[in-house]
Amino acid sequence: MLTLIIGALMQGSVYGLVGMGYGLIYKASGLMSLAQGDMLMIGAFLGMTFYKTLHLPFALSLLLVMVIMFTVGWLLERVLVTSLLAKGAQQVYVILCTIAISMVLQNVAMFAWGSNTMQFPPILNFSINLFGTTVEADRLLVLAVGILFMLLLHFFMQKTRFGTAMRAAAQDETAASALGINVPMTKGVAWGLASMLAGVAGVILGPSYGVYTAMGALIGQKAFAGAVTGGYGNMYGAIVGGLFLGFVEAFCAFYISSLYKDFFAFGILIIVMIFMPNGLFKEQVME
Amino acid sequence: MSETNNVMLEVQDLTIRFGGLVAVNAVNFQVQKGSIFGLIGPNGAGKTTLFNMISGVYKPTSGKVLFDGQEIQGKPAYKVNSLGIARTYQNINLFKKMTVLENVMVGCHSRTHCGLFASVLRTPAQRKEEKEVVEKCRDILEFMDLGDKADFLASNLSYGEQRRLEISRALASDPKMILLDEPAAGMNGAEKEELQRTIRKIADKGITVLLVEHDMKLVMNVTHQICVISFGKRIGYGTPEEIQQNPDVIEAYLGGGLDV
Amino acid sequence: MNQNTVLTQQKGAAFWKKNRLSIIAIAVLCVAAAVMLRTRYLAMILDFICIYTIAVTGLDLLFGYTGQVSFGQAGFYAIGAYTSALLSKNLGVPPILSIFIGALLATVFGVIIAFPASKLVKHFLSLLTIAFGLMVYTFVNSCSALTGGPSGITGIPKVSIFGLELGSYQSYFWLVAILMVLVLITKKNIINSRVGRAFIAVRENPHAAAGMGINVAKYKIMAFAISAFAAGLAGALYAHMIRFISPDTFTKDQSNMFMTMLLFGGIATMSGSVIGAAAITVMTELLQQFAAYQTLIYAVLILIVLFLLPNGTVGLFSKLKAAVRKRGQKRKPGKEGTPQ
Repeated sequence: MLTLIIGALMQGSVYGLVGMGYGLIYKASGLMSLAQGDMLMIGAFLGMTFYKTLHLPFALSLLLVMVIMFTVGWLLERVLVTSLLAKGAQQVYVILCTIAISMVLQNVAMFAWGSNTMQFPPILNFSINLFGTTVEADRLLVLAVGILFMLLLHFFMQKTRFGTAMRAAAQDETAASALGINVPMTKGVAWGLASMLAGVAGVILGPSYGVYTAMGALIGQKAFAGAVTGGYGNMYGAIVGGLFLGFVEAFCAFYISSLYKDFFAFGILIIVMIFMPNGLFKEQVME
Repeated sequence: MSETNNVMLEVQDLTIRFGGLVAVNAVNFQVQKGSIFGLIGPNGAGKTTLFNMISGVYKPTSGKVLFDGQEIQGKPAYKVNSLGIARTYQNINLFKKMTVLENVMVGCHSRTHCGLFASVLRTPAQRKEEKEVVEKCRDILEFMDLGDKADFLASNLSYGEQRRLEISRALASDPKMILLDEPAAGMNGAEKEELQRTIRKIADKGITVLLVEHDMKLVMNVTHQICVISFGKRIGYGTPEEIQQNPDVIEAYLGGGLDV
Repeated sequence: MNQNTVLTQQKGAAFWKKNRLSIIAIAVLCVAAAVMLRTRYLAMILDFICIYTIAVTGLDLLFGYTGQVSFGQAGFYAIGAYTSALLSKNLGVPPILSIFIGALLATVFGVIIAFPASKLVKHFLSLLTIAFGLMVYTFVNSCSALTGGPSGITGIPKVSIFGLELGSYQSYFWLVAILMVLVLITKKNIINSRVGRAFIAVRENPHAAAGMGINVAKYKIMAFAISAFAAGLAGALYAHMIRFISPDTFTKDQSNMFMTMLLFGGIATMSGSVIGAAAITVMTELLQQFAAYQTLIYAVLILIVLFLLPNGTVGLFSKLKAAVRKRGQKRKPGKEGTPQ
């Protein structure tokens, strides 16, 4: 039972991390990126390369991944999305563009690392005895890092000047730029942070999941289901929704069949969209 | 008894709140059949909001809208249209990538019936209806002086022509009443004169006109009755002459805007 | 009588002048098809082009004309394919009938999805359709008892009409080609009707459309239903052509492929969906040796369309045509510019 709950929390906090990225992007730019899952996958591969192949310390590897992933996300927004919008493209085309990018990322990973599942060496190579159950420390690490980054993002958004600027820009672009806030910058940073969070999730998930090119696609979609369930565009909603989905999956896999867990996850997504499209934390989605 | 039968539209205690803000507060007025009725007031007074409640865009918080004796408040916009109220928009809302003729043909939607299967099979009834629609719409375009622009894209028309196209499109649904939301906005003097004639021509066809307009000269010249609102409340109601004498109205406009 | 013949001749000449490009194109296509039908492999490509054109045409009515996006067409495609395969294989329903039952069931799902979808703004609509596609995929992949799970369904019956068995790709072509032409005619009739104008009005300006008496939700649902029917029909035709289906065919890549075809050809045009389906199918076949990078090819095509060809291939043609006409006009001053 405890293993089940820890598994659910672990999975849920990964969904939460990736889902917060969706929320950030939506809040800051009113757009949607469907490349989040593949950002996670790239993050996992990069982390593995730094940690396993180059034998860098784990903390340094994580930091490098964060910097690289931030840059990738930032460039995606600054270069591709901005120039698309400048051509007067509809929002749907931006979504398509991110779909194309996610395909490109998968292929890049295939070129660079091959298409086999790779082993991510354990980070904390020991187990903990928790109320009579042995739990690998890496699984708890996922949870711990997940919570840490959620808190960090919360403080960044609420307490720092840049976070305040981002929230202001999200509420009213014109007013924010009149106050001297660099609005395009805040958007780029939001996209950067989103892909950074996904990258972090990829690195910490690596040891318990294995690293392969298609690993991101499903996680990205589940995180996305969690974000919608929680209330799309609301960062805290994404966390709650992600955890909720983690629990649904873990218990569904345990009590019904692991074959159907994906089906139920997406079923919940559709039911939420039909009956309470605003999610648990209300966000305006209706016309 | 006979008086009520002559009322096209009656607004009773119409109120709408957005959060804490009361945008329109207990407004009453009656529009006689076949008349031209003006709705005026300073910017942000709630005129367009009133329009939106009558045409079904907003649902009023309380109060009634009686159209031809029938309660219509809260009905969706497409039903209001099929009951016989057509409207134009303050910020032009044309179907930009359709031709002028097609825009007007869309206006015929609620007066035509052929559905999906008739269209796919091109039944004789559907072909006949299409032909009639095209003829009717060309007539309307002639009436509104847009006959030679029928095959242009709506977005390629001049500003004044786009305003006229909005009116044409509204006329295509054979309305009993037409709501014109600032039709003279952005027009020059000659175009305004022309618009004044057009509004009279529409009224002569037996269509009741409800007009929101900033241009006082136009309103005073063309309307039979006027309702003045300010900050969501009615502050004056009567004939153009009465309105010009009304001290509250003059105050609301700070004596500036009412010189005719 | 003489006058009549002259009139007919004039009419014919006018018709020729107006439609000469299309007529030449259709004639060339017919010749090409006749040549291709001689080889089994090329006939297969033709069959695919017809099937994809049907699905893309439906998507065009939904996205191109009504402005409602769907990234879940593979879901309807799968419903059509699995329904028809199971009905004909397990219950002995004649395939020619089961194909239409499959398409109708897809339509039912289209309507169910469209009810919430008609109220959602654009990106949430994308989400809902993606979720729908994924749900259908996970269902067929995991519900082994019914769908055979990951290993799929083999031995799907051949289609036969009036005792005539369409076993080869060559003979199957006539079925898919006729259905494709019917679907294209249907599309043409719809867009030139009251319903089609309502679709375009909803796309251009939903508020004004409602103000003109159009029940916006109803027409959005109708567009969804039509696109689901087309995708379901295409899926069912696919199932009886290959006679083997498995979940791998119905991933989100398939949905993205339909979208790529539509965008590549050009949205809201008659010829766009045919050109897009044909071009992408042929390109995929030519690049068969790089099959591992197929998704990369789609990705690059999407990016090319987004950044370089915003109006698709058809848009490119009309731009070229306009440029040629402009040059012609310069030589002949005094000729009025055509409207539009």
